[in-house]
Amino acid sequence: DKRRIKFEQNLSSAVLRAIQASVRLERFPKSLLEVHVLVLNDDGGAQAASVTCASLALANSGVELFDLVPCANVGIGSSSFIVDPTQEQLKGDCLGSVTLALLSASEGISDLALNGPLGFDAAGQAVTACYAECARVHKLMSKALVHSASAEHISTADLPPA
Amino acid sequence: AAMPHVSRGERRFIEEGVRQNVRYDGRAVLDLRHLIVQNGVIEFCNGSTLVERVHTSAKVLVGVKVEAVDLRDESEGSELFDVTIDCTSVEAGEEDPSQRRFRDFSRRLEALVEEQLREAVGDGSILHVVPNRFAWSLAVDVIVLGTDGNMSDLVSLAVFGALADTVLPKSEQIETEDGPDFTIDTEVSTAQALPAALFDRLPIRVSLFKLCDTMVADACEKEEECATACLSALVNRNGELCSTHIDKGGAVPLTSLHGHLSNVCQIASELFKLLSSEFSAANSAR
Repeated sequence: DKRRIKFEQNLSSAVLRAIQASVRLERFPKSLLEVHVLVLNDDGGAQAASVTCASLALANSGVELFDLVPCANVGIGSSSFIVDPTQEQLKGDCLGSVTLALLSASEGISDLALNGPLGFDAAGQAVTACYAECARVHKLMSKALVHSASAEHISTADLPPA
Repeated sequence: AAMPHVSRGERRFIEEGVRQNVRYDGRAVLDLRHLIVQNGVIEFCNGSTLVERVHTSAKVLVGVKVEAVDLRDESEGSELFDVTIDCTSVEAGEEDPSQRRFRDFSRRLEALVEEQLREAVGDGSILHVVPNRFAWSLAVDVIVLGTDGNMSDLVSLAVFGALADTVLPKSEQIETEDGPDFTIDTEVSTAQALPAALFDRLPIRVSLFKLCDTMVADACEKEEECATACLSALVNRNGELCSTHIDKGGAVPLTSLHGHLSNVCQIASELFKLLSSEFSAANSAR
């Protein structure tokens, strides 16, 4: 139970660090934005999924953002990188892992969570692999938002005139 | 020290200075402030260190106490260390009556020190006296006596120093009717240091603060107030990165990340050289 509470506290801090840089806080003076994340199931990559989900939720809610924050997790195996590793892979095959939260438009890193110990070169290569994955996730996030906006537009268009 | 208020003019002075590689206190961007390290300052602790930054009010005292625990009594997943952070000396000078800032500060420091110790202790086998039966548990008490920016790095250095100063009573495993047990030699002269393998894994924290587009090391209080992001990393003595994260709600450019991590590893390497020479001299004097 103590371990679960620590995990939740660490995950909360990680999500806050990652998405804080993307929100235009100056547009919300004297306000508090609450982001609630409910992890339904965790098979590795809960942090990356939470950050991506929180960023999408903020965008969907209409909060003004500088950028979306795609987040990706890469495990470092003995001979290769494992993109989005499962819990079993993290405990077994992986020597470490890197989670990268990226502000795509400005190419700024809002959070880099590294679990090692990792050599300097391995860390650099893992960040490159994470960047490629973040680009892919960003496309999916944009597509989902466009689809959601179109669906709302269609559904309001179907309504009879007042 | 109360929270500094940095005026617009001061902020501009600090930022322009950093652009020209001259900081608020005259250092270059990657220069560290001088430190004074004193070991064995608390007699009743197994190990202790007082670390202070010269010409500043920053001072941290760390005491380590060791206790033998029966692993059968410990709940699954519990860790063999316990960290407490005390900032009451600094809170007393705080103007804000809610003192929430220092509660958050204490909580954050506690998480950072636990992260550091978790890397060193790992699954706990390194502290076992009798494998899977009895182990040493470390109680690390950190007292922040004064602040002047970049306290997380100073606390990590003090924790390293206290653990390097820590001695354990000599133990010997024996077999009894109830199973494996151990005896302790209470003679101080036979006391031993913590296992060397723990220090190979124990990292120290190095933080770089983003001022304009420049990352500076060991920021003072006003520089930290002006910083828009902080890249913090735990590096062990082999130069390996154990953990990183980015704080203060900012972002670090992807293109320059490699260079910043390289600087972090270099600073950590220099600090380890100094710590090794400092503590080996102290141990030989003892």
